[in-house]
Amino acid sequence: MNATAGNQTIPNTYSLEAFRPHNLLEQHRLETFKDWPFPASSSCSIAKMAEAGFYWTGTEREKDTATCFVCFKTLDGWESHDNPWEEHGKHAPQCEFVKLGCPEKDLTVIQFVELVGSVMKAKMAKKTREFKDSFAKAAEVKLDEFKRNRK
Amino acid sequence: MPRTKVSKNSKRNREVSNLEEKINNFERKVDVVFNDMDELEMQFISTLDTRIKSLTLCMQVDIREMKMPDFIDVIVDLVRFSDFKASDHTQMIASMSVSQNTTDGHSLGVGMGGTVVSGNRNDEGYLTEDSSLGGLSSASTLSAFGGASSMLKSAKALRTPGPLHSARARRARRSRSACGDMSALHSARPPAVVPSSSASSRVSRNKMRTPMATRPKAFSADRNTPMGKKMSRNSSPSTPPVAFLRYPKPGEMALSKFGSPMVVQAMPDKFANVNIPIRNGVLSLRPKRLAADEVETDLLQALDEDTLNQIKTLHANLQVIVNTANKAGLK
Repeated sequence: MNATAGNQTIPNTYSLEAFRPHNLLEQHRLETFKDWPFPASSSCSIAKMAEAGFYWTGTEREKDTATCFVCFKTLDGWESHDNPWEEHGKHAPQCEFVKLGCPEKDLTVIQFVELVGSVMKAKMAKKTREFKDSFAKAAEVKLDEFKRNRK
Repeated sequence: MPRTKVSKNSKRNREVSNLEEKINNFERKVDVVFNDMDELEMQFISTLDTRIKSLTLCMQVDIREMKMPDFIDVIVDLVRFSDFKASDHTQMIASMSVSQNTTDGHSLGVGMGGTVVSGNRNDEGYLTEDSSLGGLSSASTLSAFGGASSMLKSAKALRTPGPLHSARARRARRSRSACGDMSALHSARPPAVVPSSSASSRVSRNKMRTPMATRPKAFSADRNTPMGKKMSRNSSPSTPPVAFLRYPKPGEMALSKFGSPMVVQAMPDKFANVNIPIRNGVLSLRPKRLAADEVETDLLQALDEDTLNQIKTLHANLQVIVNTANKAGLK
């Protein structure tokens, strides 16, 4: 079914797809797991990882790498008996998602919206930090170059 | 007469100070960039905060308190939050649980679902003969909830069954006056009722609650009292809810919510007409014979040369149409 707004026809799934790049929805996180070494029966199965806020950031060599969509904590070296929620809390107790401590199915919309806000803020802070670092480095290099040429 | 000696910098000295100056300049510029970055970040964060705040404000309470899986189901069919009707959703869940119950073989559940729906429809939040009936039936419904785990979901959606709930679920009640229609026109939202956080986790109603405090109040669009301001208005005059909704249909009345001028490009009616914008308004010609003395002379003053030329062209065009029609045998 399509919804019409003005003259444009927007496919309805569009509204959910906007969340995908940020892995905000559990379903989208689940779909990132291309290759995961643990079976669905283990305590850190793909479903449980996605529930605890992790999306896959692994590579061919390191398959068991996952990152939290809120605090961006990246964890690897998972073992089949690990509990994703516990590990998440242990390594990133400051994470808003860990603090809420409930899976998406128990999250109210208002909580989700607030979570999205903090995710976006964290992303912005991260990007700013990265840019500042690279800029500072570039500036230093330029300055050194300038000084060296003068001598 | 002695004078201050201006020491001439040696070439080397000059170069050093020049160099230092350049370096200082560079460092200052780098600092400026960093400050700009900080400022941009702060700006982003404050914009984000406002956006989120306005987003939460324009969401109905029922949506805000909804669980994510339900919301994901609902949002797929929504274009705007305001399109969401809590009562529809409640009914949907109720009917879902009814079907669940029938498959489970709970005959009690069937009757219950039916009463909830009818309670919602008839009950308007006032204690009338009708609603007392509905209230009673929903009270009995509440007792019917006991233990049936499949009902929990609908119980949560119905949170406080009874007259208060239905009044809330159906959006605000409005007086059935002209302004009632008006507020429906621009889909103003009723004052938000914030349920206490404890209420969401409980099925039954809090005993110690003052009923009037949480009750949605009737309001009209043209009321501009402090109460009207308190209403969780999802927009302000400077930020209209949406850039564009649609043009009014022919014959439809359009009202500006905040008193700003409006662009109305509606056909005045379903007959041929000519509208000519002139200096002091619009010259609207209707298919009714116009006597020569009806045209006042000061009308011509409001016409400038361009407009007059345009009218002439229009006249010629109309003449062409009339001629063609005549030739085709239409009379």
